[in-house]
Amino acid sequence: MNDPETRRKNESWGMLKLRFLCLSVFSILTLFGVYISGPSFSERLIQHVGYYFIFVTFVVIYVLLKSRIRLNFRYFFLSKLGSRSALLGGLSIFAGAWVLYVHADFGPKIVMDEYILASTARNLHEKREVLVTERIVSYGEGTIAVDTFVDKRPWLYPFWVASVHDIFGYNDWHPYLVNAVIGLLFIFTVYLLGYGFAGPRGGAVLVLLWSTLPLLAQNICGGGMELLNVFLLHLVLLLCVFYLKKPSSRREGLLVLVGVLLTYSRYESALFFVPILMVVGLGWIRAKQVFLSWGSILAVPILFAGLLQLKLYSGNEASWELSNGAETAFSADYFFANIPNALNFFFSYDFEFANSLLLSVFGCVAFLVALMLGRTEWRRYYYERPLGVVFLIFAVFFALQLVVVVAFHAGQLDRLFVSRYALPFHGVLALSILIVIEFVARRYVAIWRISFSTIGIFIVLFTLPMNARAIFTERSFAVREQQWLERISGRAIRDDSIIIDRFTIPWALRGWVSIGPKLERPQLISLVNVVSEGRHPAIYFVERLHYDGVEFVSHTENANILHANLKLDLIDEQSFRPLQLTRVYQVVQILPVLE
Amino acid sequence: MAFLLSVTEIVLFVYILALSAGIAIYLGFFAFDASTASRMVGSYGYVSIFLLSVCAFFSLCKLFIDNKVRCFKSLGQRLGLTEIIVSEHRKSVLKHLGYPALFVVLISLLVHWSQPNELKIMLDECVLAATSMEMHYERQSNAVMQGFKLDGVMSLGHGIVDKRPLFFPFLLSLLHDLTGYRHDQGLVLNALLTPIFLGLNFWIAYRFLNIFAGYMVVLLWVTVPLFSIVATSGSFDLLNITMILVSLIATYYYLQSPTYTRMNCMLIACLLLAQTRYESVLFIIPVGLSLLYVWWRERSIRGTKMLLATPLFLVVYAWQRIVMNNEPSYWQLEDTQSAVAFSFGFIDKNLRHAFDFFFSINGDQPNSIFLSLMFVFALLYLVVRILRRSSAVVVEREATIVFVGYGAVCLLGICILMTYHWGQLDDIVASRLALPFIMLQVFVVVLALRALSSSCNQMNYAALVVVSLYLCIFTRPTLASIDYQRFSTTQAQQMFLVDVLKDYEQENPMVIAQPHLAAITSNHTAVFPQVAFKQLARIDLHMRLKSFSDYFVVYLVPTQLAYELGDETFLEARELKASYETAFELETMQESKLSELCYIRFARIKGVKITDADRIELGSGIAEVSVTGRPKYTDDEVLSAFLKFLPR
Repeated sequence: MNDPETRRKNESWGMLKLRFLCLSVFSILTLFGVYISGPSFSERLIQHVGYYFIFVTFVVIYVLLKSRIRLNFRYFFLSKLGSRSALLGGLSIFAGAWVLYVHADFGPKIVMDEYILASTARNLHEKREVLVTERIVSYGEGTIAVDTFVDKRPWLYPFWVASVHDIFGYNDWHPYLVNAVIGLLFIFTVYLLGYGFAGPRGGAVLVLLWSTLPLLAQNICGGGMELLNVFLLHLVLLLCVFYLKKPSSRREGLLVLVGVLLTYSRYESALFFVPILMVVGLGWIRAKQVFLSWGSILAVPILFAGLLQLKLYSGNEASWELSNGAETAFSADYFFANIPNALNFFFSYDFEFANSLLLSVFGCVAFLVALMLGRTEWRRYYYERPLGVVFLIFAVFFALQLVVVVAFHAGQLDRLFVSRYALPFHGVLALSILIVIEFVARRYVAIWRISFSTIGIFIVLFTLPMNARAIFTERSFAVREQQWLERISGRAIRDDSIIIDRFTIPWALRGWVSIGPKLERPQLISLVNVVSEGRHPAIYFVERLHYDGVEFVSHTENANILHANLKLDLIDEQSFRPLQLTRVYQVVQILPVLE
Repeated sequence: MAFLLSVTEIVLFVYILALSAGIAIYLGFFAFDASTASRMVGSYGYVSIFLLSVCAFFSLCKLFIDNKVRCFKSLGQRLGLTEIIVSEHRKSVLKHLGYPALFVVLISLLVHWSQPNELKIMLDECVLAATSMEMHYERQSNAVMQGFKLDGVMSLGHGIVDKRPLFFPFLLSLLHDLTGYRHDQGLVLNALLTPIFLGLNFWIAYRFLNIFAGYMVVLLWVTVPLFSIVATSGSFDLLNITMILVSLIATYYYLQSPTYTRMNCMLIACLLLAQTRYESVLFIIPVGLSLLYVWWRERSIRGTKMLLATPLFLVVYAWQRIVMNNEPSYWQLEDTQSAVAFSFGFIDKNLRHAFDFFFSINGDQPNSIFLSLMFVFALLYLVVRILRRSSAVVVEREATIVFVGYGAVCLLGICILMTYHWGQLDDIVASRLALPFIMLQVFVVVLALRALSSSCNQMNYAALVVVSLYLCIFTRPTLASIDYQRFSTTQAQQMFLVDVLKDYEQENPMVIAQPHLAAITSNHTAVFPQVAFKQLARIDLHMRLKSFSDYFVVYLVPTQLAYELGDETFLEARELKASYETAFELETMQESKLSELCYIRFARIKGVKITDADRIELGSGIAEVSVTGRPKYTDDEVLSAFLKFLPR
């Protein structure tokens, strides 16, 4: 009983029991907490403590990296990097980055999503609160936020932007800077994934395959959270490979914690926690040992805020933006109705959408082939090429993620604002192609040359002109309208004026006092009085109109009340969409009531 | 392809080659009428030139791999600098590589500082830019003639197949692809080509003559103001002379050692050259003769798949010629009031113009009198030395064949130009056609100098000093003081249009102008005046629908003096101005004086002068707009009607 080996085993078993106990307690507490938390408490908790959940995750990850964990990427992936493979790797990363960045037009792509994320980031930076400022009013010498709300979007991306604000000071361009940097990290991660599976040529092929996708290029220069999501997804895949290669407690912890970050990056990414747990289990089997690291145990309470948010907004109909007669957010009917739209997006052969026909066509075939290869190649993958195993585990969940998106009531992927949801699925398409190429290359080496040539020709013939068209940037009328308003406000309007506009979040983000157009006469009178008292220099009104066949009429009735009560001077007008018009007026005076 | 040794294989190879040529001739000249050929060029022109470029890329890769060029040392070997690099003697490297490279870069900078970088050659550059724009965005090879920016997207429509070959626009589109779209990408490309062109000149002269010849040839080029004008323009002439040199070098290397890779390189270089300028297709003759010569010399017919495909790559060129021959306006006969494009009757007149160009001493012409005179003396001297069978004029056999072949084609080109109705070389627009001949002049001069210096060693230094002095005393001041484009109102209008539209980059104006291509290539909606005048009601409708942020016209305004000079002075501009003023209510925004005879005006259209009866009504519109901005139309066809009523 007293020999050291037995004693160590007993201690280890004791420690494991303690860990399982902790895990159980944390799990029960977390689930119970989620169950009993009401909307008001959840909102307040997310608002005030949400920042720290992510902060703690990063701290734990830092501790794991700082302590004795040996990521040793150099040994794992780069030890064989001779001059030739380094050259090929460097060239492919450079070429991929060039294709993705050369036509980059940094700026907002999706209105209002990106303004809301930017607003959350600003509040995280200034108050450490997960909060969107909808409107500000002047207060004393400064301004104060009056209408605020906790957004439905996970706040990892705003957290990153807020961190950049913390370091460099607040700047409108930081959301784009963050995505630009994430884009580079993503390319490097993808290269490492491919390199680990099939050497430098594998890395190069995977990078170039991704660079054929204009959707990626357009997310890189936008201010949305999709790029971070897809980056973390690939980081998770990389860490899975890393973990399966040599399972250990700390590697497991790191994998699970990055999985937590992934969950905080987009709503539906919680799905990927299942395959992560499967990989963890596979690692235990492989090592013939249960690790259950402290990182994994801590992941459970860290997920608490994310689960609260999911609960809070999945039960809130308004957050699903149900429109056009939709009664539920997800349904099989939507799925079948949206499939043609999805096919239209993935297999579009003109320059209408930001898709990659190469990835879709070859990827779909390769996806099926790669799944079948799992039967014959499983053993080799298990012992030599862990990415193959990871692919087989994750593939179903990638597909499931797409199914969830398509089954959403607004999941028409061939709509400009929705197609970004298809970004993660391209990961499985690219990986499938790589797996098939690697398989074929074992018998026919020339497949690498053929693949490089095909991808290169596709990039020149299709990707580059599509990137040049910058579909997201150019076609979003709302973005162009916001940019125009920003220009006008910069050159023709004093920045302490009051703006009456239906969309107040962008104004609040820029620090302008604004108010919605739903105003009655007494409110208008008090607004005009504010100007006459000299507290604000002027009031401006942004009106959106459409052509009804005879003349331009306002989108809403509210504007008619303003027209009836105020004398307005037209400052400028511009159309950003056929038959629609945006006008900016200056309020001159209040009109007398007509008898 | 393996060596073809047996008679059967040779017969089969020749049969396939003949079949390929036959198919190419049939497809190129007989299979399609002009309108079909035009559509074919539009659809497949880009693919054809792209495939050729891919072949060029792979051939170059193979050439380097075959020759095991893996490092700078081997690159030096390829450049013929073996002993220099191997010796690793720093001084020697500097002398033979460093200084020349520095010299070429400095001279290139001098060239680009000597002239403003702007559009110069009338409409050519705009049409090339318009073709490259369509290649870039649509992968089609039409020159865009109409563009509407609606819903944030520039939709390019109504392109025509241009008469100009596609290689230059293809390179522009490639630059757009790789560095982003610029309307003046031609200037960038020519800026990049200048050191390449001068470097190739230097290397050829150095490789076959001596290092002094290298410096001399570069300096001689710079003494010609025409070279600076072309290098700072956005036209395809610099690419043409660069490709002549590339093709010449490829042919020389093939003659020197006829491997399959070199054969492919030679053929591809020649095909790309043929797709650079119309008349450069003539350079197929020396390449073909070189091929035949090698077959004869080796007593064996060898070929590659590229050779078999070569005729097929020229089909698009043939289609373009069909389109050109079918459309008289492409020949611009009305410019010279001629009935035919080519005639021996033009020779006399054109020769006088050519003499005026080459030997002008008053500075009005962008010529180099120094080079012209040197060329005459050099030619006489060389003839004498050749008659005396002097060894001083001898270069290696393969080089002689290549130089004679390419020189003969340059000579043939200028001879053909003399029979062309537009071959007045002293007209600034046509002067650039003399560039290949000037290249011949340059090389003849340096060859004669080499021969001369063999008897007098100090001659090289003296020649360099004299050329440098001429450059400093004549060429540079001439370039600084004379505006060669001063008579070109077309060029001025385009530059003015580009300038004024810079202020509206963030807006979405519609511009009516003639010429209007500069506006389209700057990514703005533009309409040709004749189209606008016919469709005033449509313009009126879109003004009421606020489809565009502003509506502008740009036109020439002849001065009182122009009117006093007679009815013919600026007649077209007068008519156009009157038409604008009849059709629109205009508010002048900006004016710029071009000469004593005319101004250019930029005006805003305040209204269209049509009667109420002529007004178009859309009839239906949008019933409501959702929160996300999605419109619900009162009639499904309303958007189609909106687009249908654009002034096309």
